[in-house]
Amino acid sequence: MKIEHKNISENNFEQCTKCTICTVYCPMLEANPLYPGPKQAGPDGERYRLKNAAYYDMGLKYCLNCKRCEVACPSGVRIGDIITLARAKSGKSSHKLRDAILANTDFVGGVATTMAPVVNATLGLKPVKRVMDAVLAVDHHRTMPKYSSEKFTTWFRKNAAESQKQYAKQVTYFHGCYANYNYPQLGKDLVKILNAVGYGVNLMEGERCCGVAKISSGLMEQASRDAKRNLSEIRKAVAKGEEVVATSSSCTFTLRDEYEHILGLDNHDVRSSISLATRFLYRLVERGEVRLAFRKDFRMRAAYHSACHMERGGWTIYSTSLLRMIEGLDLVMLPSQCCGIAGTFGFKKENYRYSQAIGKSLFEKIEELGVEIVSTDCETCKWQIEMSTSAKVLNPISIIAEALDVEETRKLNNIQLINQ
Amino acid sequence: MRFDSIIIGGGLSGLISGIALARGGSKVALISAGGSALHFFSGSLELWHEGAMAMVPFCEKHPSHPYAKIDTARVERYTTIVKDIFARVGITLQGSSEQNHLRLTPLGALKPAWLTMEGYATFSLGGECDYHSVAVVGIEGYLDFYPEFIAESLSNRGLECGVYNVRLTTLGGLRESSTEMRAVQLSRALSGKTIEELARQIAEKIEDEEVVLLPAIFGLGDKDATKRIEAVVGRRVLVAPTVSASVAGVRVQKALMDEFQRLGGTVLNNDSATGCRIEEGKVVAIRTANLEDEELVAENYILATGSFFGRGLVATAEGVYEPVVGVDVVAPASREEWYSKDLLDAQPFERFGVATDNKFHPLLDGKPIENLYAIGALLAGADAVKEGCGGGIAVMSALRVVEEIEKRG
Amino acid sequence: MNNLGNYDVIIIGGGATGAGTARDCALRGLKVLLVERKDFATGATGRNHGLLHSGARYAVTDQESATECISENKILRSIARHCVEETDGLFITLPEDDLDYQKKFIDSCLKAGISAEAISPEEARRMEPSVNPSLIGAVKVPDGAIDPFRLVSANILDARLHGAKVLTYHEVVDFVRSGNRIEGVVLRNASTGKQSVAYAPVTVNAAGIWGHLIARKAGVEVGMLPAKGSLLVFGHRVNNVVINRCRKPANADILVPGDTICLIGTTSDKIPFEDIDKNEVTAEDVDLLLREGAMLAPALAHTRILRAYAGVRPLVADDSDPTGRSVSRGIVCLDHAVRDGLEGFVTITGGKLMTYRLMAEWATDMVCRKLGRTALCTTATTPLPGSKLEKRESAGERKHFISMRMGEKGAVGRHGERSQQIEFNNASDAALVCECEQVSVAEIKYAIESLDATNLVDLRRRTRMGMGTCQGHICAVRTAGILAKSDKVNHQEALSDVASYVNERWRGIRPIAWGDSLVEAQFTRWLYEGVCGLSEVATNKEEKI
Repeated sequence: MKIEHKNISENNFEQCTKCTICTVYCPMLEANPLYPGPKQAGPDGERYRLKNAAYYDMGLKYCLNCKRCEVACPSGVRIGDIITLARAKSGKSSHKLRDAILANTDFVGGVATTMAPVVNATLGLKPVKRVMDAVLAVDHHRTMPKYSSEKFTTWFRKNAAESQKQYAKQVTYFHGCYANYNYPQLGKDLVKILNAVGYGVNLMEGERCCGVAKISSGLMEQASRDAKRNLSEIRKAVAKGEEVVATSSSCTFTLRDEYEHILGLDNHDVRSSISLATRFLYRLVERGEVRLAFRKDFRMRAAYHSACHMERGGWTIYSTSLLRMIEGLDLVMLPSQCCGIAGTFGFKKENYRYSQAIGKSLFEKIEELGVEIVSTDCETCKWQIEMSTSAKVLNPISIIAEALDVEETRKLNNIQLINQ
Repeated sequence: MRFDSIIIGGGLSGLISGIALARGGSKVALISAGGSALHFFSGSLELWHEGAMAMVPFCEKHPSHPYAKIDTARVERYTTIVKDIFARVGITLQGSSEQNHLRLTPLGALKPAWLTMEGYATFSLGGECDYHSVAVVGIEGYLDFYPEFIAESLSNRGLECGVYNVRLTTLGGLRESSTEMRAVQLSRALSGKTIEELARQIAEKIEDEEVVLLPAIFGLGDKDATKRIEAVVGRRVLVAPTVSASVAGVRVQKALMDEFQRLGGTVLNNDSATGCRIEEGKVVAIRTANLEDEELVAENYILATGSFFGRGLVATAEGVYEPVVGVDVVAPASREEWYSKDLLDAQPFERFGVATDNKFHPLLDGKPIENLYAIGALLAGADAVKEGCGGGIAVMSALRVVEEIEKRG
Repeated sequence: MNNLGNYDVIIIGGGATGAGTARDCALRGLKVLLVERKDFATGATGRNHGLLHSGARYAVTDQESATECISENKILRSIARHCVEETDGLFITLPEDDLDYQKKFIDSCLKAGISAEAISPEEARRMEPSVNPSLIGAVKVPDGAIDPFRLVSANILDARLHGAKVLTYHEVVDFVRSGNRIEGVVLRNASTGKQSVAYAPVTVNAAGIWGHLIARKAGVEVGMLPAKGSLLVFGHRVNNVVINRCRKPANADILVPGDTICLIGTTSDKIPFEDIDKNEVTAEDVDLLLREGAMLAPALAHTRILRAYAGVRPLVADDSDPTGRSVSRGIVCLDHAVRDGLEGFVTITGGKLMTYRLMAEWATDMVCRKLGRTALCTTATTPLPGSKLEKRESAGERKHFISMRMGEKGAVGRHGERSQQIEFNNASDAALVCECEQVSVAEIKYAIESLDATNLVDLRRRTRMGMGTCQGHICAVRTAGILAKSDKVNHQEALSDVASYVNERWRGIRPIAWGDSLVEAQFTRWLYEGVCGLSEVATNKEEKI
C-alpha cells in the first residue's frame, strides 16, 4: 500500500478544521473570557501573525500552556506550542523581575535552600508577602512552596551515591528542581523503590532545570542553554545504556516534547529513553522483570489527579495502574481538569483569581470525596491543591515507597549486590 | 498491557460499545485521539430518514449498507439499551424506533429523528405540536443563533411567532470577547444572576406566546437553568440546537466517558493507534503514539475511528486508506468519482469506508480478520447526512458487535 | 421600461478597468453610470495572482509591457497603499535552468527602468527562507502583492464619492442605437428580471473577455482569444517575498504571498468561447501547479491547499493579422467610430491588472475627446479612498495597533482610513463573524451599507469573510443573519444565499478535496446539512459567482 502524506503541513496549525472543540476544554477561557481562546490565539491568529507580527493579540498572555487544547484537538494541532512560541516572539511581560525569579527555579531554589529556615519563615510572613505582592507581583494569597534545608543532591552524595554501585542494573534520575530544593523525600522515595527492585540510581553531572517555567515565561535563551546542557548529560547516560527517569510529569514532558517543539532542539535520539518514573517502573513489572511486594498493613484512601502534562503525555495509565497494584490503597479518579496553577502562572498576582477560579470545581470535588490524600505526578499541582484544600498531596512514587515491603520485594527480585 | 477488548475511538460508537462491554464485566481499554464528532450532537439521534419500517426493503436492495448487516428485528431491543445507557447517566431520550418524530434545526428546518433529548423542540411526523404560538428568543452578541430564521420557518408552518432579543449585562467578560461567545461558554456563564436576568428580560419582553424557544445554551453551568426560567416566565421553555461544539454534545461526551470509566474501563486519552501486528489472520497487538514501543494486547479489537473527520479514513490525492490496520477500503481510485456538485446533496465520498463481512469484521486483502471489528462512521456504504442515519449506525453497529463478542465468549 | 436617465458616459464592466475608468471619468467631472452583470471583480480581475508586477516578468520578451508595469507599480504603491504589500520579488535560477539567462534578464530589466540586482543564493535564502534551497542564482526585483478586490472596491467607492452611479447585477442585453450611433444601453436586473434603459453619448466596453460579446451586440467585432489560467490557494503565507523562475515565462512559475495566504499559478490553455464562464480546474491543472510550485518553494508539497480557481485572460487578436491568431501586445483602446464607423462606442481591453489605471486613463482620454472635455487625468497622483493612512512606523502607533481589538485590526488592514467609517460602538460590533480572517460584525454591516454588497459572495470580496481556512463554515450563517437584518434581502433569501455560498466555496475546494480539505468539507456538510438541514430551508442552492 502506497501511503503518501501530501499537502499535510509541517506547521500543523493548518490541520485545524475550526471545529471549536479546543475552546470547550480551555480552562482559562472559562475563568477569563478576555483570553481569546486557543483557537483564535493559536491557529487562527497564527495566520495573521505570519502576515504581520503586529496582529499579535495581547490576550495571549493568559494562556496557561496546560495543553488541554492539544489533548482535545481531533486534528493533532499543537495549539499550545503555537501560542507559546508566538508569546515568546511578541509578548512582553511587564513583570520581568518577578517572572525571572519564578522561572529560574534552580537558581532561586539554590539560594533559598542554603537559607531554608529563614526563607520559609519569611515567605509565610504577612509583611513579606505584601512586599512580594507589591514589588514582585506574586499574589499575597499564595502559600509559597517551602524550601528544604538539605538539597536532595547533597543528601544523595552523602548517603546514597556510594551504595548505588552495588546494583547490577543502573538508571539515571532527573530529579528536577522540586525534588532537589523543595521535597527531597520524593527523590529518596524513588531511590528506595529502585534499589528494592535491583536498580542503582545515578544523577546527572550538573543537572539544570528542565526549563518548563522559563519556557512559559518566554525566557527562551536561558531555557535553551539549560536544555542543551541537560541533553548532553542525558546522551552520556543513554550511551552507558541507562534510561533516564523523572518523578515530575512536567520535567518529563519538557525534556521529551518541549525541547523539540518549543526550543527547536533535536532530541529524537534520546527521547524514547526519557520516561516518567511510574512508566519506567510499570513497564518493568509488565515485562515480568521486577515484582513488587506491598505491606499487608498498608491502608490508604486517595484520589488521583491527572496533571495537564500527564494528560498530554498520556502517562496517567502508568501511575494509576501502578497504584492499583497496591492492595491496601483505595484509589478514586478525580475528573481530569486543570487545577489552575499551571506551573508558575498561578503565582503571578494578575493571574491569582483566574488560577483559583479554574481549580474551584476540582477543589470542591476533593472536599466532597473527603479524601485525605490526593495523588498527582506534578509538583505545582501539589502546591495548588494543598493550598486550596485540606488534602495532603503525594506523588505516586511516594505512596508506592510508603506501601512497599522493601525486604519482601528484594527477596522476590532476588537482589544480589555486587561487592565493591 | 492486556485487556479483553480494546476500542480505538472515543466517539459515540466507541463509547456505546465500551459501556456495553464493561457492563458485561469485560476489561476494556478505549483509545481516544481527541474530541470526537459527538461534540456536534444536535440533541437528536437519527435512525433512518424514512423511518425504521422502511429499513427492511432498503436493506434488501442495498446489501452492502451497514444496516443490511444488522437484523432489523434487533432495532427495537437496541433502542431500549441505548435509552437505558443514556438514562443511567442522567440524560432522558424521547422517541422510539416505531416512528420518527421531527426535530427543529438551528435554521428552522424540521428533520426526521429517532431519539431526542428532553427539552429540545420536536414535532410529530406530520409537523404538529401541542402549542400554537412561540416566542423565539436570541441573545445579543451570540452569533450562532438567529431567532428570525427559526421564526420564519415556524410561521410558514402555521405557528404564531414572536422574535425577541435579550441583552445580558451580567455576562461580564464574555460579552466583551470578540470570539468566545459560543454555546458552551454561554452555558457555563449562565447561572445565578445571569439566569435571573435572562428570565426577567424574557418575562418582560414576550407577549402571550405559549412557549419560549431559546438556543440550547443551558446545562453546563446551572443544570436546572431552563426550569428556573420556566418558573419566572410561567411558560414552557424549549431549546433549539446550535452549530459547532454543542452543549448537548459536550454533555453527552463527558457523561458517557465518565460512565465508561465508572464501569472500570480504562481510557487512553490523547493517544492514537499507530499500527498493529497481525498474525495468522488475527490482530495480536496494537501500538499507540504515546506508548511507543509498548504493545497493547486484547482478545478483540474494535475500530471506531470514524470517517475522514475522525481520521478513521485518510484521503490523499492518490486514494483513500484506513491508517491503523490498513484494511480494505471501499473507494474509487479516481478523484473525479469522489464528489458531486452540490455539497448538500448526496456525496460519494461519504459512502467511502471500511469493507466488512456481515459480522462487521473488516477485510484485509478480501479476507475477514476474525477478532477485529469496525463500527460507526468508519463503515462503508452509507451517506449518514443524506440518509439521516449517523447516530443509528453508530449505536446499532456497536451493540451488534458487542453481542457478537459476548457470544464468542 | 424604467428610464435610468442620461449620463455623459456609460461604462460596461465592473472589473479593475471598468472601475478605474469610472473613477477617472468621475474625477474629471463626467456624469458616470457603471453597469456590471454580476459583482465587481468577478472576471479576470479577481482571478489572477494578485501580483504587483515590477515588469521584470515581461522585460525580456516585451519591453513595452515591462515599462508600463514598473511605472504603474510605482504609482499603485502611492495611490493604493491599503491594497499593496511591498514584499519585493525574487527571480530564481534552479540547477535545471540556464544561468546565462540571468544576465539577459537583468539587462532587459534595467533597460525598462526596473531595478534588478543579482544576489547570492545564500542571500536569497536569508531573504526568503522558503525558497528552493538548491537555487544557483537569484535576482531581486520590486515585485509586490496587490489585492484586486480591494483595489476595485476603492475605485468604485471613489467614483461614487464623485457622483458616479453604479449598478451591479445589471446585464447589458441590448443597445439603444440611432443610425450608426450608440446612444444608450438596455439593462436587465439579474434578480428581478426587469429591464431598464440608460442614455449616454459615449459607452465604454470594459467587459474583459465578455467584451467580445458586448461588441458583437453593438454590431462590431473585437477578436479575442480566451486563455484559461488556473491557480491554487494555500492555507497560509509560506513565503513573504514573491518567488518567480528566472527563465522564459512558463506555467506555474510565480508564487505570490497575499494577505493571509499564498498563490501559485498559472497554467495557460486556450479555451473555446463557450467555456469562458466555466472556470473549471482539472486534476491535471492541480498536479502541474503542485509539481511546479514545489520547485519554487518545496514546503508547498506539504502545505494545505484551500482551493483552486481559474480565470480567463482577454487576449485580443491583432487587427493587423487577418487570420486572427496573433495576439496584440499591451493595451488595446479602440475607437469604433474610426475603426468601424460606429459612433459613441469605445472598447478598452488587452492589458493587465497592473495597467488598469493606465487603461482607464486612455479610455477616459478618448471619452473626453469625444465629448469635447478638456479635464486632465489625476488618477496617478490622487490616492484612493483607504490609501490615505500614513504607514505605521512609530513605536507609539505600532503599540496602539497591537492593542486594538482583532476585528478593528482586520478592518484597518483592509479598508485603511476608511475603517473610521466602521462603527465599533460596542462589544457586539467587534465580535468576529469570520474568525479565520478577523472580519467583525461592524465590518460586515459597513460592507452591506457602503460597498454595494448584496449577498455572501459579494461580502467575501469586500471583506475576505470566508476566504480563510474553514472556507466559510463558521461565518456563512452568521453573515446571513446580519444580511437578513438589512433591507437588502429577506430571511428566505438569506438562507438560500447560505446554500449558494457553501456551494460556491465547494466548487473551489472540489479539485483539491483530499487530506485536510476533505476533512473540512465533510465537517461543513455535517454542520450545514446534517445539523442544520440547510437544503430544506434553502429554495435555491445554485452557486453564485
